[in-house]
Amino acid sequence: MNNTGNENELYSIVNPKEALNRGNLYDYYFWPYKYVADIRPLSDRASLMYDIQMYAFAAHELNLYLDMYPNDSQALGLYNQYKEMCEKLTEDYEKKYGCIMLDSDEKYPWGWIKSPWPWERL
Amino acid sequence: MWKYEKKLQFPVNIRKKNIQMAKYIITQNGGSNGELAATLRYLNQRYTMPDEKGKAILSDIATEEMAHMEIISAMLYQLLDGATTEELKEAGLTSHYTEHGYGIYPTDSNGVPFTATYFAVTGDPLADLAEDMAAEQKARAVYENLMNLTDDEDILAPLSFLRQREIIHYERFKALYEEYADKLLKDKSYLI
Repeated sequence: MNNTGNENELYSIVNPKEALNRGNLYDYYFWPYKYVADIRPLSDRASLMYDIQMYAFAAHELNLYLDMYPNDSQALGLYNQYKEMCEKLTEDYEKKYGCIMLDSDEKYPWGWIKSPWPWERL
Repeated sequence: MWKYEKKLQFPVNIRKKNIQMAKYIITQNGGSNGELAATLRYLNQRYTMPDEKGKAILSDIATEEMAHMEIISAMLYQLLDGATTEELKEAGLTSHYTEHGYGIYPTDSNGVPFTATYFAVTGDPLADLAEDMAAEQKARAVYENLMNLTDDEDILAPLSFLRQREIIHYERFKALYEEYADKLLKDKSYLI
């Protein structure tokens, strides 16, 4: 109960792209059914969004893992690395295409309202 | 509090409208095993989790479930995009159209609206987590049923992603359940 982590999970981590396509960062728990996605973004914008989504997803998976194993420094290192990638890519995206988060100094005119909203096709 | 990010957790790009699939997929929005039930189940159960891990896991998974509701809604929006009333009639969505137009409203695939009776809050961590584990497995089974109803990869991709999330969430709840159950047996208390 005082173990720092779960080796079955940690040693089976796949890369962020595969993780997002599968919906699962850990090969150990991967249980495919009928179909595994191989997302091909249709535009530069969708492609950059896809990169953000993959790093955000990998970081989120480690977030849930760290909730259970908060003393696992290896997982924490990976979390920080993916989180940083996600922030960098988000910054690139926001410069090119507009707001994802209301975090920074917003430019005039207020761009938050601009389409596409997430349910609209990119 | 929560902060909105203007992005989906997983891309949804459905090029071909499919009213029939929208009628079925809506159950993962407002049905008994759907994402809205999951969100509210974990959000309301978290207050009586006995330690920090439990509070964190239920808060974080509840938040992710909100993002899943958004993925399902994006799918519904795109599946219905451009559908004529004639097509809605043919697909058996006339009642939905009468009540909601082209809007998205949480019901199951029979049109039964969402209700809070789809989930329980007992205040007991083991009872609540046992429900959560069952809920994840039931949602996984429904995603498989939905996947059996289509061959459109644009629809299969997000369904397959969401199905796999049920598997991971199940494992997280199971690890927590087992840790609490062990503590209870050994120390007669959830707390160290």
